[in-house]
Amino acid sequence: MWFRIILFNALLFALSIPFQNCGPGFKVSEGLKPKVIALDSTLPPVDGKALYAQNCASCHGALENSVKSRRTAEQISTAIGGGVPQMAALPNLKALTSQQVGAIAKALDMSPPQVITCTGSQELQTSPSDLQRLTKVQLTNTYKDLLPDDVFQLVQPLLTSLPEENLADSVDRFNPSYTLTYTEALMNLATQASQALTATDQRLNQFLSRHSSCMNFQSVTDACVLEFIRRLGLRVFRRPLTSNEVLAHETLFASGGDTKDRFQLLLMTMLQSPEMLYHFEFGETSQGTNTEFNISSYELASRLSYGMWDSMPSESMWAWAEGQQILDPVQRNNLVQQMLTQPRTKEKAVRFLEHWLGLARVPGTPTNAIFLKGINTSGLRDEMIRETLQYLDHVIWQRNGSYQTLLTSDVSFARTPALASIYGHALAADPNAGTQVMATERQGLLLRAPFLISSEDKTHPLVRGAALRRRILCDSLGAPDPAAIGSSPELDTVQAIQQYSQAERLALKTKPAQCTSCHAQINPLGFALESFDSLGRFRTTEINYDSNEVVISQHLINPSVSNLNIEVGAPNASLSAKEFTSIVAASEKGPACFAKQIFRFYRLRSEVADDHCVVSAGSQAARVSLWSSFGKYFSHPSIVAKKVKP
Amino acid sequence: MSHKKGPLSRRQFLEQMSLGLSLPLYSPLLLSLLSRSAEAQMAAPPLRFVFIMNRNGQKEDTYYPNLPGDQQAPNLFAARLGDIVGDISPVFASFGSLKNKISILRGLDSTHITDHSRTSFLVGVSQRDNKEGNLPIFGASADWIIEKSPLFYPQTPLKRALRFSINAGRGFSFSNVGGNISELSYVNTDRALFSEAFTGVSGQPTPGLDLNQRKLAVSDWMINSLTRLKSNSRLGSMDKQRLQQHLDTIHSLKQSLGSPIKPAGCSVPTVNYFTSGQQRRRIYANVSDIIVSAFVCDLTRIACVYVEDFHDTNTDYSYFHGLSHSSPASAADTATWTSHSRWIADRVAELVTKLDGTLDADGSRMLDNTVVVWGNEISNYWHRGESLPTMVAGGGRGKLRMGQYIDYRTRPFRYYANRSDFPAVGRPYTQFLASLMRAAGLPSSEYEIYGHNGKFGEFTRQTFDNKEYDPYIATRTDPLPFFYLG
Repeated sequence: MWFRIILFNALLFALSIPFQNCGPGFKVSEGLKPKVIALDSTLPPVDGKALYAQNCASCHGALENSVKSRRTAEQISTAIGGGVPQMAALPNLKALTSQQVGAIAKALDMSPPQVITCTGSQELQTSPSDLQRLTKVQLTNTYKDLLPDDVFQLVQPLLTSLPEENLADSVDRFNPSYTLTYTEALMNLATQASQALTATDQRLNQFLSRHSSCMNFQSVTDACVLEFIRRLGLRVFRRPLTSNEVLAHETLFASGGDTKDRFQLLLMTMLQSPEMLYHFEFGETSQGTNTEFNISSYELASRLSYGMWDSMPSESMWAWAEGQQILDPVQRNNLVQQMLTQPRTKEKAVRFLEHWLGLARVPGTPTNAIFLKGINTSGLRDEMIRETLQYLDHVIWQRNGSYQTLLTSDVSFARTPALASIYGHALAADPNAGTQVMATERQGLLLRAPFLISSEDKTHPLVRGAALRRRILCDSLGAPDPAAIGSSPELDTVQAIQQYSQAERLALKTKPAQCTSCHAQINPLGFALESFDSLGRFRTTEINYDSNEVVISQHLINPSVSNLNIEVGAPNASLSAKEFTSIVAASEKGPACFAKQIFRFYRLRSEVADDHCVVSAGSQAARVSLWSSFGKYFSHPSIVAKKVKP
Repeated sequence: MSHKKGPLSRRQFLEQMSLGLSLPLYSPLLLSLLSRSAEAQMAAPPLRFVFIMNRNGQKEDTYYPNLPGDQQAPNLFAARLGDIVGDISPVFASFGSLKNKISILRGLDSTHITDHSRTSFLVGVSQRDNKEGNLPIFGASADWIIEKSPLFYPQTPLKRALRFSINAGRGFSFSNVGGNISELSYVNTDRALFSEAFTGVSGQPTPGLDLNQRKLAVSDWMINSLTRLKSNSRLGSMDKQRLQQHLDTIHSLKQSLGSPIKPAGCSVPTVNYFTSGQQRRRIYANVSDIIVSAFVCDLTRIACVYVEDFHDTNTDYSYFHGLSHSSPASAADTATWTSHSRWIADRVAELVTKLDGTLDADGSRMLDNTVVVWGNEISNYWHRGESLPTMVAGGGRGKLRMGQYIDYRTRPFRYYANRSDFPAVGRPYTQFLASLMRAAGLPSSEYEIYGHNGKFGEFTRQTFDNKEYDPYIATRTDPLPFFYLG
């Protein structure tokens, strides 16, 4: 599990420990001069290209034409670990260390993408997808849309107690199956909801009249029951019931006791129907093949509504589906534009932003009073996160801003003296007006406090660097090999802290060859942000404290960093943190990663080569408008396509 | 009624079909042709509490799962117990089927313990003069605060609580009326506990519910639907496997529904009382039977059990005490100690399993409507209060998060006096007690009068010198984040 934590880059504290300890027992020499330490690793990394040629090319083709282009280290490890039995049986693959797998992934990432022309029928290209179940959020929202408010309030605690999906580490961890715990919970949920709906005459009559033309269950007619089954069935199954399904439900209803009992049994059963619990997509049987086809108009309505809202289609969408207008690209685009204006579309987008940026896992603020210099940290972490979300709202929705704007705007929405002080401006009379401007050395999303703070009085450049690589640039990093991680206590002594800056000590710790394949990627990005302390304040001097909060050393910050290695063609060095974030803002990789992150969150899986067109469309849109990047994902032609995993 | 008019309506036709004549697909539903009972049967079952404590502490390595978990918030990690393959830990080996119904909490610190303290468990304070037989220096225990609340007992119950301890003069429950602290009485035999619960009870059974059969019928419907869907040619092989897995869970659910679950309905149980020479586990088996039966009859909603035994025949506390303080460096001592801790854990598991196998009036499992708390006098093999071992089962109708190993220890780890053989520092244990009382429906005004400076429990920090608990001065009786769901 410890290994997995590092692998999936979620626990920032835990992540810092293995990386910082990487390296053999390095001896600090009395005679060493501090400035001889290069902040970027210069030793050659593990040769991923050679490893690929030795171990992979015979099956997957030469690297430049590899059919496994852009496979991640996680995907390769999974395949070797048993996901692909043929690979798991090969001893040479089993013997690969995680560093070597990481290097192969890196080589695959550097290989040119398969050339896919995103025009005409190519735009319908999509990768095979699994049958998905409703997520906890989707199930909760579906119940909310199906049930009267008072009944939903009654069952909400049961929905809250459903197992969490723990997607923070990776959306690929989503378990698309229902476990026994989940199945039991669903049974209890449907039981309680059906009991509540029939608990009083008034409540049952209200529900009956909502889904049929009948007003009173005690005088219900056969026609009423039929209408009720059809109308409620449309919402529960998210498509019209077939005649056999209607008959089956009528029979079910007839098998109950008194009338109220019959409704209770019917509701309890419908609320647990597999058709409600899964996103079945079968298309029209007369169209396509069993492995590739276009989904039906009703399935598309669900794809859009669950994609954008995490809930069932609205009443008007049923009409769009029934009339099949939803299948027309122009009309579908109009529908998507309408849906983008809905508050719940934005609510889900905000959940995406929180997920993408890991805002739930922002650490607490440091406690060293000398270090804090009078900054009041009470509620400060929450204010940092709130301000970041308001900034995102401002750029994405108020300004309809681009990716570049997101990373370079200098506006601040700090509402407390503490955060205003950190961001280097005075509090305006109206902090929401967008008139507060951050100090000149700071800009955009990446130099905001949530991405800089740690709970200690020292920075964690490796945590910052790894997060930037993974979250912002979508680079894959291998996991450190536990056997290769050494401790370097010599570099944590008072003497070493006096002699070297934090960045210099980390450079030394990660200098051994087995570390460089990843740390050549991580270190420069982390070191580029060293001008900001662990509370997110700009600084020119690094100050180190002992456990008694006494200053033991000071080092001038060198804000220049080389070997950024962001992408071919991008500047490879920066003179300041601000310049570094400008390079990311102007890169191809930044907006492309943003589009990939949207894909991952909304599809609950990582993108592969066949998803290139929709990701590419989102990437291009993000350069103009981040919000249109969301819309592009849903209006893209491939939204109607379905490919079944064999 | 209009739908009965005419020679043979569509529904009448279907009713006849469903009477087992021609629709085998739905034949299980015939079992659910059940009359509707009184509205009262649909009311939510009452919330109950069981508090269990044993003497001394736990060896951390054999008690806690070896699972670091995912960070949920600063200084808050959690892992799903269901993700553990095999035993949760050596001590919790009997909880394999209960992984989703319990939570194990780590990093809940009593800020004052310097000796064995039975007053820490539910009062959250030290005992007078630091002598373990003494009363708490102030306050009252959470079980008493809950039982006296009209919010918990809207109507006066037959018994506000059942309390059992082999040593009747030694419990962990304390009342506080007008500032006068008293130790609440315990009974010390299974026979006495039975009399305490059932004297004067006629054993009138309440009408049974047919909800279980209804669930069986719905399970059959789901099995049919999933089986049909699984054959769709537009599903991939993995999709079909997932549907099969879902089918398997429904079969398991159906099996548990059909297994001999104690029917809901009050009756005076028959108890084969413990007699000298029998294994001592029998006492606790009887105690748990009596508690479950008392809950079924709603004679009480609170039970307290002090498990002072640790072995079927050995009752030598001085031996047990000595072993509990042995260093984990001794593998032999640790193995022996773990076998005793396991014996105690098995008694807890037995009660939890019985609660889980008993249906409440609405068809839900009694365990799901109950909060079972298992705690200790001290934390590990030292007289320390950091990380008091705490397990909770049931969750109290979703008020408390179950199925988790929740670790509240401060990161990076800090230790009192830099002693890494002491448990690492976490957050105040009083937050846990506040979580329980909030789960019982009590507002803070009902319990915060029993502590320091308007807060529940003790907060002295007397043995700490590095401001470990300063961040919690204002929040030390807020409910625990992540664990308390409200």
